[in-house]
Amino acid sequence: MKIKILLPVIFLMSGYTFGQGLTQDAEGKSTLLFRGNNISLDIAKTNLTLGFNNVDKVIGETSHHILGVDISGKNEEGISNLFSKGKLVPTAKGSLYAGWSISNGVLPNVEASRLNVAKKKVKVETDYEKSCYLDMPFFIKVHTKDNIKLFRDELLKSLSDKEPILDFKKRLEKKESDSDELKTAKDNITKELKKLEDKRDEKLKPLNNEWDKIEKMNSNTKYWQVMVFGFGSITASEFKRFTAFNETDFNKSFSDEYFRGGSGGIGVNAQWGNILLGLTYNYSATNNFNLLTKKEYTIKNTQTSNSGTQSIIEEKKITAYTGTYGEVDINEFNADVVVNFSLDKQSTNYVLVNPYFRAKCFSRDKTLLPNTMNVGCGFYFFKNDGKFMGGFYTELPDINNELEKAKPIADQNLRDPLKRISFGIVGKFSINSILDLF
Amino acid sequence: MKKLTLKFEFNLLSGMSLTSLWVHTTGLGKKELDNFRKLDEPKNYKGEIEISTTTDKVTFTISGAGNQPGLQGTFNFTLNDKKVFSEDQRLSVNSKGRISFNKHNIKLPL
Repeated sequence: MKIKILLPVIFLMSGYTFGQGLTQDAEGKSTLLFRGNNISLDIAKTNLTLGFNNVDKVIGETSHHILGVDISGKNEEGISNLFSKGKLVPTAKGSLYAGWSISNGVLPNVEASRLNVAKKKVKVETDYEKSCYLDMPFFIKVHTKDNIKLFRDELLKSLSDKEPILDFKKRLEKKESDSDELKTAKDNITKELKKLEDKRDEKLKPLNNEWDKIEKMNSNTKYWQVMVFGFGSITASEFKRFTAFNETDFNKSFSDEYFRGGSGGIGVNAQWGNILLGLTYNYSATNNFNLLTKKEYTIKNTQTSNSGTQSIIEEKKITAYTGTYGEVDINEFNADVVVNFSLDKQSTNYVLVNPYFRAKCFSRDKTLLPNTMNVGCGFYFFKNDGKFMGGFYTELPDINNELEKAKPIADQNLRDPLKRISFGIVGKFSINSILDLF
Repeated sequence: MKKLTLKFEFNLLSGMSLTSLWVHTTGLGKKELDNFRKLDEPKNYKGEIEISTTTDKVTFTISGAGNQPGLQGTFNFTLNDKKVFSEDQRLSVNSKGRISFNKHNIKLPL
């Protein structure tokens, strides 16, 4: 089995290290919203993206709006042609999204139960302190004789002044026992206080158990979050297209195409414990630029001197795209599932498994832009300190070979799906980790 | 009861969010918890909480949520510039997407 292996090593520089837009398909896209503000540079695709959103800040919120904006600039020719030949086919995209997020981050019965238990604990402590103020003066008088009057008066004053019992206890502990009598009195008073403390702790014990049950229920309840959002984007790009040979002036065989498109749609991102789900639908006004064939043209212009003994050849190189070009409206359905697994018992290393599905369907002109379906699966590894270690994805593009079938029969290259599987490696570094190198 | 002001410092990763913080019988207000969420990474958050107690052994309970199990952060409290926990404590997102720390009888450095 011949498997086509592509190695577009992608370096994403970002202030964030994992889990936020980390998973991706072969086009570097995901239906899962990038969490937090970010700057990413995809060197292989010459794509710079700036994103600002509050998605990271609504985690755990019971109900909150989400807002975000992404701006990206890309050279369709890729990095190699940009640097080696200075070729630039610019594409710019701006998108906005807004929606609402709900979650069970704060379980209402949990907070109410905690508050209830906390109030009971406060009552136990208040009662304990009251009993100290009531009972301890009696014990102090019983356990102290007149020759340690100063010590007795100090403790009694502390209690009559309603000094916090913690301070009273500290005062008692710090008192130097410079005589046997004082030491005995101190020990006896401490024992009496300890009895009251033990009574308090006995009453606190079941409340602490109740507290633990509440906490256990909280930590064992799977966290879920659902974000529903609408989004819209505008795209602009330009490129040179070969239209037809112009016999009188070859320069007029080319036209500059300025494309302005856009899309609008809705999406859902959901989390259930260790599972993330992303779904989007959008209606796009796009073009079939990706199906055009890039060609290099050289126009030679020969000028001969009047004497006919000399001639000068002027060459002009033109990169242009050929093929039937047009703007098309199409519907896109995309889906991602990300499941998080721990790789070891110590829960130090984790893997994200990301099966995904991309469909372009109900094309308004299938001859220009056929319906296509891609499926893939990504695997991404990270450590519990957030350090991303690497990942890869494998994708089967255009399952039904629709793009090939749209070509003239002579140009078609219909291959078995398994022979068209592509493979990509993803590397990602946080800006902080790079700065740490210097 | 004795009023004590504990200072705290949390270092969380992006994707981690605290929803509840209790020391003894005092819970941090929603406004303070919202401040956690407003932070960009690194989510280094410093604040303080005032508690009332009759004992020097108290309960610390911290809850939250995270978008990826395995994310890990740290925290510690100080009282009168002395650390409550000799080593910074870890907070991690469990397999259910929850952050949970619950310990009783933690001795305060009075």
